[in-house]
Amino acid sequence: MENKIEIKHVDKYYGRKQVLYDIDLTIESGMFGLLGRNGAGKTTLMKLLAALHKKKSGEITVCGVPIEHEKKIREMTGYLPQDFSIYPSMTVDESLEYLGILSGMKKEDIRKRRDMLITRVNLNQQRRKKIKELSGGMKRRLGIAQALLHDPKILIVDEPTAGLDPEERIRFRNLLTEVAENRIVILSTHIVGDIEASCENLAVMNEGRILWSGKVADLISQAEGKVYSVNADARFINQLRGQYTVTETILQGQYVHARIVSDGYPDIVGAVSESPNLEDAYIWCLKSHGYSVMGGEEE
Amino acid sequence: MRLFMKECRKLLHSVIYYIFLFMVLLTFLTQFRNDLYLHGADIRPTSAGSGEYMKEGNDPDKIIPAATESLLMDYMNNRYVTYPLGFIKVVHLNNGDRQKMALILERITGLSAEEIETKRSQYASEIGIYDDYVEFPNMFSYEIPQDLGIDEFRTLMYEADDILGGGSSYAEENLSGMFGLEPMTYEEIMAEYDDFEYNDRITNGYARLNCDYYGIFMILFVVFVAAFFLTYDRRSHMEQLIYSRKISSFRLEMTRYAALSFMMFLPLLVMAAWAHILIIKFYPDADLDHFAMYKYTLVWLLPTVLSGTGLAMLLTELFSGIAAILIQSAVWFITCMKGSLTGNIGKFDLIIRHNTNMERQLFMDQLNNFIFNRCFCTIAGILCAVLAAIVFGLKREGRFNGFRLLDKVFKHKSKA
Repeated sequence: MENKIEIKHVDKYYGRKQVLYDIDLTIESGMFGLLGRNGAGKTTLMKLLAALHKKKSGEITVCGVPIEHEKKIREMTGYLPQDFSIYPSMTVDESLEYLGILSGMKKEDIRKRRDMLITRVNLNQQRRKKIKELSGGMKRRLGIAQALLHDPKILIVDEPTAGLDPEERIRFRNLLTEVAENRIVILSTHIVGDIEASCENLAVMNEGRILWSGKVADLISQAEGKVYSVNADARFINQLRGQYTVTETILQGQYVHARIVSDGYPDIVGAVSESPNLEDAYIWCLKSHGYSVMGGEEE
Repeated sequence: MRLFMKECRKLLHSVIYYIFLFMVLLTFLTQFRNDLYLHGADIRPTSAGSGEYMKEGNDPDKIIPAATESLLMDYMNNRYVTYPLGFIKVVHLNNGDRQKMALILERITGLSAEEIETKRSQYASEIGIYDDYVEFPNMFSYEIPQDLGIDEFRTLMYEADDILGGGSSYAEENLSGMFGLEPMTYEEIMAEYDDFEYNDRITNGYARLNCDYYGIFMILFVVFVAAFFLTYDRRSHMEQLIYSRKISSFRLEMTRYAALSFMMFLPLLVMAAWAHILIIKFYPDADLDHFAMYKYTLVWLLPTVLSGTGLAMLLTELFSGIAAILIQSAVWFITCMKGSLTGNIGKFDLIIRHNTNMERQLFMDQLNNFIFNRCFCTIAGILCAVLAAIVFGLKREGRFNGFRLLDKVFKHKSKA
């Protein structure tokens, strides 16, 4: 059985409103990032893959299994939803046992997997604690544990690091990278740093469409020659923002150091070409598809 | 079984379940136990008493004159009190319907509409009352035609009730109770008591009374527990997590149905045991049927719990918890206001009534209806739960998001 997800010409509607347009994507083993603004359609696509929504048209196969075989798909998939929570009065142990039963696992398997995962996500001290007593970071780690409980081939995590402090975010990303061995992990986020730090492949989404998909490094290389840094008088910062897509500004006394994404060499004295990072590449990708970015020039 | 135990445990952790237990206890204390303590043990009567024991009668010689006189008074005042859905409704007929009613009265009394109106006007002006309901005692002398049998009379009363929109004293089911009441003879009272003591062996009669009380309230109580329990997933933001698991929608919902029903039925068995102990205390020397309380609780109240829970689950899945509570409460209110207090066992009624520890024969006469009704409620309850599972499955696949009946109300409130 192929260890990949194939999405072909998928459309999705909410009532009469189309929310996904002709999605074509192949996701292979390892960490895959789905990057886009809030409302880009990432969660809808995640829910389609977790068999929580029905597509209008097109084809989706998960490891060779058509998405219509919901029971089989749910057996293969671990899902950590965006607004993850568990019954507040249950303890960590109880919640995993309950979800294990819902996943059709045997009692002995639940016990083994639960003990192993609780150790892995570093919640051993909290296993008798009630969910309502856990911090945000602990809850997310428990979220990963529950998603991996039935040892799924595919792990889908939707905006998992939103609201976490920097340390918890790094710990969470590392955890995801660890579990990505021998399985497909799809990380949906609007935080570029999460994908840059953990994913080899990604797709950029906007307004229900896939704008770009491939290796992270390839997206970055496409932005080569489009990123510049300039030092300008701080008084002209608003003028600069009006004319160019500014991705970074650092105020240094009466001067401002700005990072610009631009198709051509900017008409600013002293502009220096820079190596792009993923954030620059993402912004360039949106710009090159004609989307307005941060009040910069319209294509 | 593991899931069933988990769902039961979840219920044990919810506040609403303890409120439910409190309400079950309160019902017992204020209804059955209160009755028993206030009324005391029913002892063998020694005399016929003075009209204390009445029974419904079917004597045409009582029913026809009493009902005719009542209809005549109502007609002259053009004011009829009805209970179409259990709620009082005062009906004033328009000219067309008054003419139809006059024809019915003319057939029974021989009095024309003009004759009745003339007399009414005269009397009203004599006593100077024009607006209030006026009694016109023995104003008319009329003969009921010889050829008017009870069957035709009942048909005429049926038509009168139809003109009034139903629920009047002239309705088929109310005629005997309203106009045919007659005192019981000593022999009848003794036969009734013998039935209670020897055939019902006391506990059977009390078991029916206990079930009658719980039968009324359980339809209402269960909807609160079921609605809160089923919406707990959403309130805990667990929906997506549960939807994504392997378990089938049918298995999950039916297990929850079983857990809810079991946990809500269990306290009724405990209350039945308490009732049993009280009866032993009140009738220490009697030959009691020690299984009666449990037997009736099982065959009467389990179907009530199953139907109420199934309906509540379906309404909750279709609409929302609050809407389910409101709809089922309305159904409950209308249903329990309908019909008489004893021997009220319709084949398709959600609530059946027999609010006495006596009148065994009245109950036994409707035993077939009772069995049919309980089977119907059980099947309907299970069917509702199956439909709830189907709706749950549709929601799980994102095909249906529930009818948001009250969304506008609450959105409007939150904006205010």
